[in-house]
Amino acid sequence: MLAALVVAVSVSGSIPALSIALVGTGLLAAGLRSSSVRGVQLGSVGLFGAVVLVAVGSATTEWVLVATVPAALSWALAGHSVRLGRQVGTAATWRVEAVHAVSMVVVLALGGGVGYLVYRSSAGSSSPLALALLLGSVLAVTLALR
Amino acid sequence: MTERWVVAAGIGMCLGGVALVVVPGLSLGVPALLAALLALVVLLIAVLVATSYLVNPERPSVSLPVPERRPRYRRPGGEFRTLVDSVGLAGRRAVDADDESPRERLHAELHGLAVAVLVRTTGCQPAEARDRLDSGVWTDDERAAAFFTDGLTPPLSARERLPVPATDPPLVRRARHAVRELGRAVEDDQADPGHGEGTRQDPETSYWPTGDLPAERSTGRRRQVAVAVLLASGIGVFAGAPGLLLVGSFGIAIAATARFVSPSPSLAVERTVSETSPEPGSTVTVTVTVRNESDRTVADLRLLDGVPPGLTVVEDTPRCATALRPGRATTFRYTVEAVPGRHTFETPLVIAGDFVGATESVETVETATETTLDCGFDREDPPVPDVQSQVTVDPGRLSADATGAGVEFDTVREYRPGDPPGRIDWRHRAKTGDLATVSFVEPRRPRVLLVVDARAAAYVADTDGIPAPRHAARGAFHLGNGLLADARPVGLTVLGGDAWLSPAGGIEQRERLRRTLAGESIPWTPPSESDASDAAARLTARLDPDTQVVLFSPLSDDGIVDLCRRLDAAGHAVSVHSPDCTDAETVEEAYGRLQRWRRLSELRGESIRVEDWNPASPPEEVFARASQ
Repeated sequence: MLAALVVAVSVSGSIPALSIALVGTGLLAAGLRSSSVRGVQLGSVGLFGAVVLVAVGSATTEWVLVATVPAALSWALAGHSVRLGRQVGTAATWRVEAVHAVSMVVVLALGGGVGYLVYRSSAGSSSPLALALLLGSVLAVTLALR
Repeated sequence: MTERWVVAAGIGMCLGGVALVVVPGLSLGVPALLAALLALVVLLIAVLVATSYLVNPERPSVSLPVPERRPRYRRPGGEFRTLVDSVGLAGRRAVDADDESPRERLHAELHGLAVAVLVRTTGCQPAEARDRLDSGVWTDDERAAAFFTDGLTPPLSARERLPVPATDPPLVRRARHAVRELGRAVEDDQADPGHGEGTRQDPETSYWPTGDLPAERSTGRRRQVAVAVLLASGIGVFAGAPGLLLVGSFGIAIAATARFVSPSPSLAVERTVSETSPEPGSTVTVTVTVRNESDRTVADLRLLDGVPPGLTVVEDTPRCATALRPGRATTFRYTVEAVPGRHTFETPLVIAGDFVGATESVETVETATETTLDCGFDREDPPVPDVQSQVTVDPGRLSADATGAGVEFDTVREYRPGDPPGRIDWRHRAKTGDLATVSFVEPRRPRVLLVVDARAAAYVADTDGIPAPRHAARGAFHLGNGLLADARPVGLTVLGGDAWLSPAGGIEQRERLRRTLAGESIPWTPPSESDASDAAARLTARLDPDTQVVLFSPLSDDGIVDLCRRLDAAGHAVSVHSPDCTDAETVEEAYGRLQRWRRLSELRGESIRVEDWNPASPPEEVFARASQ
């Protein structure tokens, strides 16, 4: 869990983004400590916000993609562990958490990989219509799969 | 149907976008303004959808039980809190309403209680007690006295007039003081309940979830992903950051996995216990094995074993979390403490999550065989308890207030036509010339019906968490066992349930008593509400007129007092054994204790024998004391 946080912080480069990420990390850690869903969610929002800030700023596309993975991982694993803690209390959970971490990494890598391939193939063309259509498709698919 | 169209539109747009990217010439005819407009519309929809998700959070559909401890029962005196709460809610103006306002109800309730307390502790008449309440001389506590002297709307202090949320209305604070003082008047050594409010813990009416299972529930993760993706892509388009649009691909990957890989495990659960009929107080180790019987890996499995509601876990945990490959199994152990009764394990509850933690299925998995712990009541031979005497038709070996043909001399009375010649006192005739008949003490055989109060209202518990009906069952078995050993016929019925054993003797009856009292007839979870007066009517209709009744009840409501009165009026000798589950740690509990004390003294005032019984002490002590 903490590893994911550290990565998230180190990747979120610029100064304002870093401060937001640090606040998010603090919230996430506090949420984990007190096993509070709200704390973990707020912390994840902070981390993701930092990534968005970096992306809007100067970061390259690859940088953004790489920074999102730990942010998403820390959100997923922290939320999962809080849920587990609520449901099974003091039972040993490392096995479930490890399986969850691995499967999340695989899913994220696959999704990100496909996305990145599409992006690479379109690099250079700057057709606004293509961008709009892609945005629309993201919206439609997200809605349908929610 | 709509979803299908949305997916089709999404795929269409995606293909279009990719085509445009691959062959840039295709978009030549479309102006950039139109494209920007399209992006804006899409973004607006995204923001709207995201907002609606944030505004309407999802609610969990199944609430999980807590297998480690017993269900939380009502504490005695909970009705005081209801009264006080209604006063706080109704506000000061409700006094003017036509029907009885909460303030009037609280006042009437406490006034009645205070009169009863003063009458019984000081030996004065009710009118005198009312005078003392009105003048406030009964206590040193000014606030407690003011509750009865000052009326229903005490003046507010300057601070209480401020429009900040107040803690308690002044009337309620005075009521708490009054309850505390009354409690002190009854028992000098009562623990100080303080004046504040105790912690609030609502009683639970059910334990293990039943019905509407298996259920699939969302963890809310897909919604969070959707919101993040929609907002990020929107911002990405406007800020011209393609990286943010690509973030969407992570989200789609998560959502798609959650959509198409649903958790549906096929499991086999086996449970063994180290000892199926343990002694009370001993510990029993429970071993549970879970096997994945499907040909797919279960990525995320959580299992809550169905510990019977009456047992508490003392070591390790009855919960397990693991991931299982096909055919693999996992085993876990925990230890429970045995308490008297027959405990059947519930079916284990399984929560299976998918690979990305977006949906969970909740279901129960039947074990191969039903597990039962049969923890007997204490087995040693009890002393013969003493019950009240009742005149019965059957001859037996016990004395009753009946005279006639027997062995032991009782009285000589005037001859009545029809008296057997053998009982005429001829010496008396020779001395006085009058005919006289000798009466002997006639031994009789009283039948006893044990009545256990297991109505919902009787489910109150002390700090140890064992509800009063279970204490009552233990006491009833003990008494019944002793009576049977003394060759007296014993029957049993349960108020709030449908168990009925007609009075009979013998070893079989003892076994029947044991089975009924240990088993499901007196469950650990409260039954639905039932009416005490209906129970009384049914009971009197079924009882033989010469059966005496021994009632086991915590006396936690007035209905049971009426039942005793009705049985007494119907000619049955009634005695009550009441396990004391009250405590005076908070004002509410002190109120519950006072009410129970009032009921006890009311019954005693009507020559019904009442035995106050501390459930922590073993039953043999209680009945030994009763027979002295």
